[in-house]
Amino acid sequence: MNSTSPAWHLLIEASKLKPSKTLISALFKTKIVQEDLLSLAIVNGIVPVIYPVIKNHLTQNCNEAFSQYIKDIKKRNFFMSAKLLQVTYLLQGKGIIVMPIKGPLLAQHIYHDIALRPSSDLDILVQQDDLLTVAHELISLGYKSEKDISVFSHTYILTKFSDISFVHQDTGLIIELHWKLLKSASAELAQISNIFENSIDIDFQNTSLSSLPIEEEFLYLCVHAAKHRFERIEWMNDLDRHYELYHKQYDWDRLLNMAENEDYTIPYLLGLHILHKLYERDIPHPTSNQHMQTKTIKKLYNKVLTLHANNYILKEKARGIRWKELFFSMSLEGSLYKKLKLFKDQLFPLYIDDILSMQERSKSFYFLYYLKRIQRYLKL
Amino acid sequence: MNLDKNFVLASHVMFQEFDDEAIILDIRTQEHFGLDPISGFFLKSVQNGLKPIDAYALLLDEYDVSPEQLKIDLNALLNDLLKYKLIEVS
Repeated sequence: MNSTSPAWHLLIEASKLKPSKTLISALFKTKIVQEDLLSLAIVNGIVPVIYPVIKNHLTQNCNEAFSQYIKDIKKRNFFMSAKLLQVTYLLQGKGIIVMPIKGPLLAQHIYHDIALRPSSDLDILVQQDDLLTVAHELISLGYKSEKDISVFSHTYILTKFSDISFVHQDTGLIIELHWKLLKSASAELAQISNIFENSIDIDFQNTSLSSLPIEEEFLYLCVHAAKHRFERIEWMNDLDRHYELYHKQYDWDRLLNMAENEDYTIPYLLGLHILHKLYERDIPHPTSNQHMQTKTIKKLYNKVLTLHANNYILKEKARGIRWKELFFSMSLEGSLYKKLKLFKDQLFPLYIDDILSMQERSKSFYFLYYLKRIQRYLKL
Repeated sequence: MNLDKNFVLASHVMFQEFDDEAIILDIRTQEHFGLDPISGFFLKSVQNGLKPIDAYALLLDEYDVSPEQLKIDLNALLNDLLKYKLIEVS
């Protein structure tokens, strides 16, 4: 059994599109420490969404603290949006289309306001053939790649990894350049050119930007949130807002098929289960509805609630391998092979530098690479 | 007199009002300028399709300012925005 706190229930209720004023008033009458509410809302990424709903219940000091935080977020997201547009305009001029994922575009798309969803960095998806050009353009704008950009010509690295970060030398802003939507995607979600072909246009700051097709985006949000164990309410809210906007348009059979083909069935069903249990959404697809009620999904849902009950997100994370997170991630995998592969990859992670250092050796020494990974594990 | 002309924000510009100021930003260069609330209100009105001269009249109603000084300030603002190519004559 888990026992999520009244404060957490308050955050969930206030996040909803139609929050219950009665429930919120009742929750404020419990032992909620208002000062702690702001910290909890910040780490859950939901301050701008909940503030209008709860502000009448807050003390003056708390009101000021919430209000100041929101002002800061509004400005930060404004400047991040400007950076995003700078990159997209520059690349459009070179004939390259980029697709922003998450970040300000998602805020505009599903919250209809860039200020409602805090962003800390920018993620852009590009087609593999465009990687080098995009990297050069980012460098021309003052970003520095965490790795030498020759890695974009390295087939094995492109196969094994999905993104590389660029950091702006003056502002510290990070742009993650993705050439895969999800690292482990192997079916439809791995076909980036198809994703670009079927992208939808979103109005953004008087222009139009490409965004993921709706089913792909919903599945992506499920997988991304599940990968992080739905630790932030923000990620649950993303699903709810997306659902609100598009549930009548989803091709439910396609969604389920895509999830099954990619082996993302469990994250997808867990996302739906969360929508059903916490946001009172009735999933109109009988097969998905039936599958999301299985023991596995219910067990994972309870684990998510336990994390929230223990305020896991507020706690300092241990260094090295976090076993609970690893076992949660393993339980999201459908096949034993994938579970074991994930276990192996977590214990003996492969880094880009490993590949670069091994390529300097002859093939007969490639076995050293496994020894290196074991050595790294033993050092932890 | 700039107030008699019509303007639009340039397509490479972002403009946003905040509580204590407004910011106009050139997306290409990321150069940005902070505007006081009166200038922000004026530019927002222009962005919403109001003629500058009408936005000026609206400001006179909203704020306790000298008409002459306001006219001088708004003309200077429009000159600056034109100089930095943040607005265009429509």
